[in-house]
Amino acid sequence: MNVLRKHWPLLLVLVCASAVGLLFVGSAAEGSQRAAKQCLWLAAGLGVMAAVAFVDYHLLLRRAWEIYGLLLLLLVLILFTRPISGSRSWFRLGFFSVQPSEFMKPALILLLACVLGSPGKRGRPVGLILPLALTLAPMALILRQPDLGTAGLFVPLMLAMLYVAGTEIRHLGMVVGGAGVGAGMMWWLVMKGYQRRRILAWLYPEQYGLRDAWQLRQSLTAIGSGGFWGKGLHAGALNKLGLIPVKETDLIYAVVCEEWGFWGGMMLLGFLAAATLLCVSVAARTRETTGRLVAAGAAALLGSQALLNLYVAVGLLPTTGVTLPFVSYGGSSMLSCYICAGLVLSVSEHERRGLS
Amino acid sequence: MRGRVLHLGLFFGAAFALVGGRLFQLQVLKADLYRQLADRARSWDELTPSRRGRIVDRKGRTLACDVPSFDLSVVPARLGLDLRREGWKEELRGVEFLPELARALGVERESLAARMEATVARAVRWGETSRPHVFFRGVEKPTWLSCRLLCDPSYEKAELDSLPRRARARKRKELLRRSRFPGVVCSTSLRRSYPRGKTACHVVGYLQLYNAGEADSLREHGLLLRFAPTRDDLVETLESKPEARELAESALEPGEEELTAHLLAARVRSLPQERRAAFAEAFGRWVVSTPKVELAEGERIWVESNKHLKDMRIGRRGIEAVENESLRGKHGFRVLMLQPGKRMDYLREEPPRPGSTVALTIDADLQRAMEHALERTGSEAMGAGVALDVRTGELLALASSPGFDPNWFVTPGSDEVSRVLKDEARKPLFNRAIQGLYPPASVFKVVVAAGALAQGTITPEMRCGCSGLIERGRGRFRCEGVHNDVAMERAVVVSCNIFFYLAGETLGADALASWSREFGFGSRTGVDLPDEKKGTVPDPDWKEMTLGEKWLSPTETYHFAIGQGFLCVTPLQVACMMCAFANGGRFPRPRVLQHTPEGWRRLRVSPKVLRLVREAMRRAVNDPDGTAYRAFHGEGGFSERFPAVAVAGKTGSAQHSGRGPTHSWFAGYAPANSPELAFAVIIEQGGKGGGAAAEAAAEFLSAYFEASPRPSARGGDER
Repeated sequence: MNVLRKHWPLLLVLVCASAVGLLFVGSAAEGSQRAAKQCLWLAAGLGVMAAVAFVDYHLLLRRAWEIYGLLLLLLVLILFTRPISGSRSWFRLGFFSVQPSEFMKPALILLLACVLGSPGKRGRPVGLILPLALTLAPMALILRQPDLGTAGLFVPLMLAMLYVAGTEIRHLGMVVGGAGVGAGMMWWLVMKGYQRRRILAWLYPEQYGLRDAWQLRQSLTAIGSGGFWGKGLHAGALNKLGLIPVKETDLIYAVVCEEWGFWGGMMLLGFLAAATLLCVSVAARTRETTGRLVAAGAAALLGSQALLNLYVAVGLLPTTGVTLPFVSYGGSSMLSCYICAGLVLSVSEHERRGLS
Repeated sequence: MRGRVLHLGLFFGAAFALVGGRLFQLQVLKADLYRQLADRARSWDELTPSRRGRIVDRKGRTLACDVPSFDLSVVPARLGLDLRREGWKEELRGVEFLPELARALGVERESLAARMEATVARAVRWGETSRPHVFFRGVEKPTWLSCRLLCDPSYEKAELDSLPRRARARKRKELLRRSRFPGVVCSTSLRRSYPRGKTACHVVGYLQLYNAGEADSLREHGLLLRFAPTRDDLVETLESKPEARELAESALEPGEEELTAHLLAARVRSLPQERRAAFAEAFGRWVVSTPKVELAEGERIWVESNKHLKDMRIGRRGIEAVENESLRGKHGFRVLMLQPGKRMDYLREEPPRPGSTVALTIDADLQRAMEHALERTGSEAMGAGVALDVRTGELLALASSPGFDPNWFVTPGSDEVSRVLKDEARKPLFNRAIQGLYPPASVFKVVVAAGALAQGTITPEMRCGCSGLIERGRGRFRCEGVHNDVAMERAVVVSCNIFFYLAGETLGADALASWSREFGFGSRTGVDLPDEKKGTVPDPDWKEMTLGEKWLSPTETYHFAIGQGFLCVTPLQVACMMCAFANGGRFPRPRVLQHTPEGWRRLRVSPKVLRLVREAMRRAVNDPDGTAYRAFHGEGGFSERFPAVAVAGKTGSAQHSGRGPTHSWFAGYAPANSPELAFAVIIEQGGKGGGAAAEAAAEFLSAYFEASPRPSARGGDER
């Protein structure tokens, strides 16, 4: 109850964002049971958040290596499954599927906080090697699935946590430079033809055919045609005619903007920005180093995932597939986001002031 | 370190604000633009093809018409391939149902896969992967019906549209489970059919899709043909609009004379934007710029290009090409808009106007008889035969061998088509009757005789001695036989070379050339078929100009006088020349279209001279020592079957640069006393003119006179 009293604004924006998500998953996936399933996931997510919030995060930190190891093992195993629509991201369990890469995100936050929070080689470039290796291992496995979007999210997460951990700026610069070189190498070695074309199509739309920029074009058309007031819930022509691809997941924001227009888009944007900033403020108020790192990591993850999704939807970044936190359809994504929120709440509750 | 957390907060705050700004730009500042784009994204215009007109012969018998076609189409998006990847072509070959479908259609699995691949590739290029595209035309109806049971039924709208929406989706799924060929759809369309096959193939022509290069370059570079244009379209635009002419000429490069749509598009594509716009304006009648909206810089949207070219066919040769416009009629179109939860709306609809029937002067039976006659020495024979009505200039038969079946071209990429196109040695598409250039050989002697008589350099009584050889300087010029004492008439009958060497010498090379031109050689006859050749009439000036050499007199004059050397004519020109002899000096403009007006040119030759030459030609066929006597008076031959009809004509045995026997010529008219029909037949490497060609002509004439019996016999020339 203390949590409720203290953090009602954060809880409110999260529930609001999820409610908007629920409405629009219902609109985008009309006639299927996805909205009902999403309801279930939302309930589960809130439950998990409560559970994580009540558990002392120090307990989780102590088990961080085990959790990380287990998920890394799952990410290796998943490469031996049959691909579902072109990528090996899913374990099929009866009537639902689990995406271990989603759960890797909170696990990595915990482990990085654990590693960066311990005094030791902090302040020396050697101290960067372990966090880098711990991030790159799951990234490489996720890239093999292939899932460029989820893997890409690990980069801002790691950078934000290194920054908050007090890494010297020039060391951080080295990491960013290394990331640049790595991206260049990925372009030549890892990326598939269609992934490269998507980026080129985003940069030079005139030279690339309808095929490569179709998703981008449909998304912009849906958003722009919504206008200020929108076309009304369940009245978006492009949504209802199936002209927006991946509309329940990656492009749910285009559906919101088409049907609720500028005000609806700004409202959802506000919820997500508020959630991110409230998480940041928890981190800012936390004195204990590991706790601050956990909260900052969770905030950075939620914020950068939301931003990546929104930037893709409005055409500020090339097409990549990441979900919109708390809003998009998908169980694993929903649970993972609420786990992160739970971690933030737990930090605020169980911080040990004396240790810092 | 708390400061760093605050930096994080500032960064995220700014990044979220950026999204807000972009949203404002898209949804408030540019909302109208995107509303238009959204409307366009859910509407498209669809072509409703017109029914192409029939082509009929002079008696109204159909040579070409549109018939319902039973087709198979493919919906690329439903094949279960990942079309975004390059590897879909290999995946397509591995599609499970291919062998079964190939078996059902009775074709090779590989050729079926190739057809499907070409169609899917086209659809992918155009970004239209969720609509059906025809890949197999003209399936037998029973096969089509049985395929229909196994094909993807989700596009059978009539059945599904009657159901409520929820039930429709369920039914669709259920039908899909049952289908064995998911992604393959049975469809119908109109198909060109040529019920008489090869008959008159060169006159009728055939249809083809726009070739990929034409369509693509037009599509990609901002110029698009409104509907199927013909060269006439282009010519008309160029003639009626001086500014268009100027533009087009400025686009040509040195050495290019002919302006084709393809060439024009290629040129225009390299022009700067503002000049391109001038083109689109000048050629507005048939070229429009694609609806490419010029969007603000940085905007990552463009509008779909028009897709009208998809299944459009264009007449490639013969009447299908010449009369493309009127046969095609006018295609209709409709603008469709998808409405969520409702049925499709037609925003605008313009119905098609069917094409008009085009009537030919060709008689299908006579045409068939002529083709048959050309092939009597074997179906491999190469040659041509032309027959026209001497009273009207109407062509009754215009045949070239070998031919082709225009039906082969209905299915693009069929094996027969590639065989026809590859046959470099025999060139089945080549219309020898109007494009084949041959030396006329002895047939030309009647022109020399008429010219020399008309100019008075010889008289009918003038005689010369033929010993089989004359010598002039170092040259020795031979005759086929020893004809002793010959006058003009006998020289034509026995085809004496010596007489005509001397007659030609009396005229001289320049006069020979001008008489050749008078009888229609060296210029196009003006027949209403495309790509007619005009041939060559040599004279000293011509040789000086083209070869840079002096005329060798008398050698080349002698060769000229017996129709050899540089002289080249088409079979149609020879037939027209015979027509002018037969009807008393009126040279026709031959025609195959009934609506082309008659046209005549009077020759500068007196009727008396023509009568003399006509009599000689009659005797060449009917005197026992005439060169064509044997072909018409053999056992059970033409004259036994039609004793009342006398034929007149002249044989020719043309030497040519290739190896093998001479080309065999026979040209003339019939009946000799009151001519109705002039004809010319050539059989390549057929030997002597009195042989293969005269026999073929006799066979053709038998068919003609069988069809129109003579009332009574009248001998002699009465004109």
